[in-house]
Amino acid sequence: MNEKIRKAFDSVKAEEELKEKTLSRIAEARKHRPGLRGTRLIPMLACLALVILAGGLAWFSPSATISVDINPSLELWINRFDKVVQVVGWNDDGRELAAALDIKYMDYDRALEQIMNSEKVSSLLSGDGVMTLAVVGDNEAQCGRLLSGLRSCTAGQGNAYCYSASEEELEAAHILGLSFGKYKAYLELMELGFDISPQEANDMSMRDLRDIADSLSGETETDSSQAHIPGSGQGQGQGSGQGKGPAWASDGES
Amino acid sequence: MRSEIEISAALDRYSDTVRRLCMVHLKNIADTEDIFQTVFLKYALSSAEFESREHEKAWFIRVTINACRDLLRSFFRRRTVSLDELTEQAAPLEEDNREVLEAVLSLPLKYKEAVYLHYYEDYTAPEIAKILGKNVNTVYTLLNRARGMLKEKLGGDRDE
Repeated sequence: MNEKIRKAFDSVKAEEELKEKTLSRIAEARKHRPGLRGTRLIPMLACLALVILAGGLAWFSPSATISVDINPSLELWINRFDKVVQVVGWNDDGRELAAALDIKYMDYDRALEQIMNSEKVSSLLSGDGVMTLAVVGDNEAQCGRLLSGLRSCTAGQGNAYCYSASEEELEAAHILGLSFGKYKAYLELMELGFDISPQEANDMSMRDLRDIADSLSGETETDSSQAHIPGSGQGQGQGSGQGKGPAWASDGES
Repeated sequence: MRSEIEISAALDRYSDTVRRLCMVHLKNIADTEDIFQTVFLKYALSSAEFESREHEKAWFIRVTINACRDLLRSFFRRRTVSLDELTEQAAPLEEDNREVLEAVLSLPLKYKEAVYLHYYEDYTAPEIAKILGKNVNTVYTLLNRARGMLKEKLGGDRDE
């Protein structure tokens, strides 16, 4: 029976006409099927574009700001990967320094080292210059990391002060056209009763602003109505530094 | 998508197998044409990798059986035709072959599937079980019963 069944089925063959029709149908289907160049490729490319876009947005979007004030006043916009994505000068010196630096897309700590090693800033620091570094951002973990990194970078500097601040304060500073360090110094002077415009504060060095504040504080120590108590002003209470720094950057340990 | 050369080679190798399976399952030439083309179109568009010719052949058999079963499940396609019509689908057959084919094709589907795969394609019961998605013992039972039915229809000249 095996052989009979085999022989019987052997006699059944696919007709040539059927094969030809099949080949034509496949050819037709291939013609109309866009394959990877069409339906499948478009969603794939769209997904890829989204991934690239999302990655690009994450890369280019700043998530924190480091405000550097000595007299060049500039801000480093930092992305979530702790890289500098923008350098903004807030006064003439700051703009000049920003233009001279090549620190875009660099790690923030290396960027800060370059700033501190620049001719202008290093000469100010080796003199009696006061430098404030403020970290501003919503991401607490990142801000904590940046602040700790800034403190390490400025550990050898007697007149460098690091602290953190809020986005609202940074926005208020920008409304007045000031970098954050200058804004806080300006507020301190205003509080001490010193008549100064934001523009004037912006053009002065942090050392000069500090000296005025110190002198006013000294003067007003005898005048209880205008006395300024270090550490009780508008500061965030998270600053650190060496020597006598800005009241708002004091944490009582400077 | 496979190349034209691959498709032509597959047609040469498996067109008869697919055609025979269509005959085992289907009841008219229109459905046969439809399934035959569907199977090869699926192959053309598939990017499945085959480890061997046997693997590839098993793929064709499985795809054809599944396509036929899907078609048979369709309410609108469920039409019955005479055995004469069924065997007439194929090229003119010798009388002996016609008789055997008619005997096999007259069996219920589950038996004729097993008979074809075992007696013609030489698959073992475990292999058939895998292809048809049935229990091995069930396949043995199907083959035994089919053998008995065929013996009855064709006479007792078994040459196993």
